[in-house]
Amino acid sequence: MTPVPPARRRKRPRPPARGRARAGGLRARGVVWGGVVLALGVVLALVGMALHERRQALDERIERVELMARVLEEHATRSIDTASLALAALADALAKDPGGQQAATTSVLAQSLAGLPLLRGVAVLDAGGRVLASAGVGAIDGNVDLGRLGPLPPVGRDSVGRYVPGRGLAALADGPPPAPAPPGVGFVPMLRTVDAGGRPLVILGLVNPDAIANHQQQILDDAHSAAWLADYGGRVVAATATAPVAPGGLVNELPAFESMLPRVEHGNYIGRGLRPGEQIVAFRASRTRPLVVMVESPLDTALAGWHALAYGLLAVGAAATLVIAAMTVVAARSLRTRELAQAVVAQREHELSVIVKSVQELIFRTDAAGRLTFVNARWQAATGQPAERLLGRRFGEIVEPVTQADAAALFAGGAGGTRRAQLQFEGGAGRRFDVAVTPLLEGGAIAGFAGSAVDVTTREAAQARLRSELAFSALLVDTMPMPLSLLDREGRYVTVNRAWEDLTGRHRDVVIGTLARSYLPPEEAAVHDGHDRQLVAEGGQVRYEIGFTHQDGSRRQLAVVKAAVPDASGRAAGVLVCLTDISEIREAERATREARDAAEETSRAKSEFIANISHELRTPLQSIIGFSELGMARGRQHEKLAAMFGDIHTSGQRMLALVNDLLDVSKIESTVGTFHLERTDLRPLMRDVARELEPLLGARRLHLEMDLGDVPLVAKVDPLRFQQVVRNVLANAVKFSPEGAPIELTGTLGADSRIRLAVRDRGPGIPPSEVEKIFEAFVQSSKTKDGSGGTGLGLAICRKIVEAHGGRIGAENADGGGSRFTIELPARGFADTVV
Amino acid sequence: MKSLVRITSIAAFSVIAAFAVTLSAQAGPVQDRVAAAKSVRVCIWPDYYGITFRNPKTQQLTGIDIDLSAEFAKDLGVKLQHVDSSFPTLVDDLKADRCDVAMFAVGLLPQRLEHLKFSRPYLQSDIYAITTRSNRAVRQWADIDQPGVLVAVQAGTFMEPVMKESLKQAKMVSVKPPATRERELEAGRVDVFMTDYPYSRRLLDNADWAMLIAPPQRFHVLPYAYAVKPGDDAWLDAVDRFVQRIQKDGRLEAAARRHGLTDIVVR
Repeated sequence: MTPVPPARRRKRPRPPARGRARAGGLRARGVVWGGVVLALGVVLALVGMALHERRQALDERIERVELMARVLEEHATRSIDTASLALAALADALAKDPGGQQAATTSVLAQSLAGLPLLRGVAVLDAGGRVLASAGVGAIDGNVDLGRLGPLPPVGRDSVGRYVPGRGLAALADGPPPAPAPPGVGFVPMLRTVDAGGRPLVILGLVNPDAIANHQQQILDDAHSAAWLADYGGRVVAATATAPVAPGGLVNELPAFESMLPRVEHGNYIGRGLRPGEQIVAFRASRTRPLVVMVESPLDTALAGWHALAYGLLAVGAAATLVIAAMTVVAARSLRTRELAQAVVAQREHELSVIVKSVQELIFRTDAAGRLTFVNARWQAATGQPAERLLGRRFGEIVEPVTQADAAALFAGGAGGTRRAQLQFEGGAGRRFDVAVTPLLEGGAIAGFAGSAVDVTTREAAQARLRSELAFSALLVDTMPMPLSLLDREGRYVTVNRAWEDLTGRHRDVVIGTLARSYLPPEEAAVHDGHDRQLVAEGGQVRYEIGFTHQDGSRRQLAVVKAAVPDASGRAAGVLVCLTDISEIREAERATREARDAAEETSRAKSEFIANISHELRTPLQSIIGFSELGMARGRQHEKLAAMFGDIHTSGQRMLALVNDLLDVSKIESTVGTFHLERTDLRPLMRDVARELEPLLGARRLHLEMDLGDVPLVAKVDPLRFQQVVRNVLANAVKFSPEGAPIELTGTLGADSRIRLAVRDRGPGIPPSEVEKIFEAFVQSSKTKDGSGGTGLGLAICRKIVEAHGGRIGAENADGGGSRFTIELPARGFADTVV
Repeated sequence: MKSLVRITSIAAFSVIAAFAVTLSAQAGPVQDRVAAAKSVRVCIWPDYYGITFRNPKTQQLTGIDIDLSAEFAKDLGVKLQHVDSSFPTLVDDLKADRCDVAMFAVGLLPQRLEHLKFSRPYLQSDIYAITTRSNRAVRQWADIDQPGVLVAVQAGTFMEPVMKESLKQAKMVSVKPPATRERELEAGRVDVFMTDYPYSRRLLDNADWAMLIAPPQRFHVLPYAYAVKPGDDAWLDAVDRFVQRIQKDGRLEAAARRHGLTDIVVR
């Protein structure tokens, strides 16, 4: 029994109610909701970040495109201004030296070109368009068609004309059209008029737009972006190769031209550009010329980086959501598991509490000093004090003074295992408790004690009773006159009683533990061992007799009864041996048998003697009867003599009948008279006898009523002897019936396969005390003794004969007067005969 | 087919040069002079990027032949002296003994073979076209030989006769100093100019305004070698054996790798 620590103790342990489980479910659900909110927060943060990044990417690209536009505008303006400046310098030179040599002028022009890669060529024309000097513009036949260049600027000013396809002046010649230049090859004419000593001259500069475009291309350095220079009318002057419009083309449908220029000189928008798809477009007008630089960059490439980032964020969001979901699931499950575990713990605690409460033992725990810190409910029943009052008290204070020393020893110092003592508690009504205490160790030192106590009062009383009963049993066994011993499975004596000691002459101290066979001759030991083995193997009892040499040296006959003694598991643990000295009984039996044999011999000798005597008596009787008949016949004339012979003859006849009966009785009792049994129907035999007796019946006017039934009454009988019995009984009935009375003879076959014959007369009956005696030899009923003239042997003979046939004969007084003689014989079927 | 003929002729030149070197292997004035002065004067063209280029900003000489001429001097055990030259002045510079050997990837041209002796070739280059990035007339090789297109070549280079012969519709423009091919191109006076592999490297490395157009197949491969003036076969032999050595011992390969010319090394 594990003591429950105080920390876990609850006054009223709560069962794990459904409400608490639901509260646990709410907590787990809370975690799920928390996970959802967290995931939403992460997703929202990522979406916000993505939007912010998009805005930033767009802003960056717009800023970059605007910067490009600003740089390119700056370059274009500066380039054209530089060309303008070069033309102005030339104009100055021409104005100062109007009569200069053409060669010198040409040299100056060539020098101007060397420093100005933007200028493809330069030429000095007169007002009619005749080329006065030129460099880098190619030679032409005829004049330049000034009209194609637009209005000439006033003196001291310059103007920038429209883009002209072609390589050089030939494209402007008023002669036949020159060979076509390759596509994209053209120039922008720049004009300046000068008054050279009163002669108006025109300085024509051919600006190479590709120089501007190449610079734009170089600055952009981006295959997706495009830049171009156009005039306010939307006609392109120069364009990067990435722009789908050639110099000279029109782009005036762009929003910048339609709604912004010239009012708004720089700006940006996202929308239509030159190339398909949405473009980020920035434009900036030249500070000094009616030209505008435009730069466009596709929106999708601006957002390409952002797209990658967005995909990354999407992946991060998905991963974070998955992680959060997984963590949420794990947390919710672990929480749920913990809650379930807590519920299980609470359930166990509750069950344990119930168990502790219901335990019949006393359970307690003390601190190191032996003060109670926990007791279970059973204490109240044992001590009569509520548990609360026991807490805090020393163990020694709550026991009876007589056991205080034992209680103190329980909680003495020092380590060690369980300690035990029997104590009596105050208020415990003298009941004794077996107390066990185990020290609880913490770090090698005793931190307290846990213990339990069991009420052993009843047990001890029972043990005392048992001891007394065992002593009584031992006394009983010891005083028993019959020798008893108990052997173990191996045949060693376990116990013997005093009678056994007296019989064998050996004391128990000597024999206990020794082998029984060691005291016996080998042949006797073998008999005993055989029975012992059988009993150990099969159990049960055996009984046998065996010779034994008494301690006084005499041979005795012992009746041995052995019984297997089962152990707790039902197997034979030993053999109980009970001896009985039957020597005297056997002696008495022998004497009895010898006396009976002597009596039987005597009876047989008597019967033979009677038979011999009777036989010997009949010879002189024949002489007496013969001579008395002769005397009667010859002394008929002498009345007195004749009466004397008559008496002698009658006496002789009676004596002969007596002798015959005696002979008959002796025949039946001795082996001399033998029966010849055969299976036969009794009815014809009885009818023969009835017919025989008819004269007697008629003489006394008696009538015989026979009812023998239709069923053959088959029995195994000697017919003559059977007829003798029937004749005797019927003759008796005739003898004692009053004149004219009926005699009934009935024969029936009973359900018990016995044939019952009955003869009923209407005579005087038999006194009840003589009903059995009349079947003894020489006995006659007192009512019929006189005048019947019988020998007293007839019924005795009948009984002998019937009993010799396995039957029975009896007599009784019938209702309505008279007597009834009943003969019972076992029936034998004819089938038996056949077999 | 035409390029095959050219390759064959170049091979023939190489064989002829080798024979010349072998047959006339005897000590001559140049070698004596080098030995006496204990220095070798090497003609270079300081504008030849990747070969013999003087950085205008630092005045430092770099290029494969700057490295190899130093190796050459080291092999000879003499001091090294670089002498500025150019293709138009090359023959005169050698013949007038302004330098002992020209080491700046001199193309084996028939005109030069008439006046100079060459070592075995150590580089070879095809012809490449350069135009502006924004150019709309020439975007690819096929755009070059078109009506109205002006194709510039440096006057005096081997491209001049080659292009003159190969251009059927476009017009070739020979650019002579002080005019430069780049300036003519930038001003739009020409649409494209032709150059060799080493020069194209410079543009690719430094000039982000230019666009290189490589011929789709071999156009005109020219072997480059070192040149000496005729009359000193021993000297020519020394130069030729030097080329042979550097081809074998990996110095040529290493120097070419340093200057991005591995693709045109003759091994």
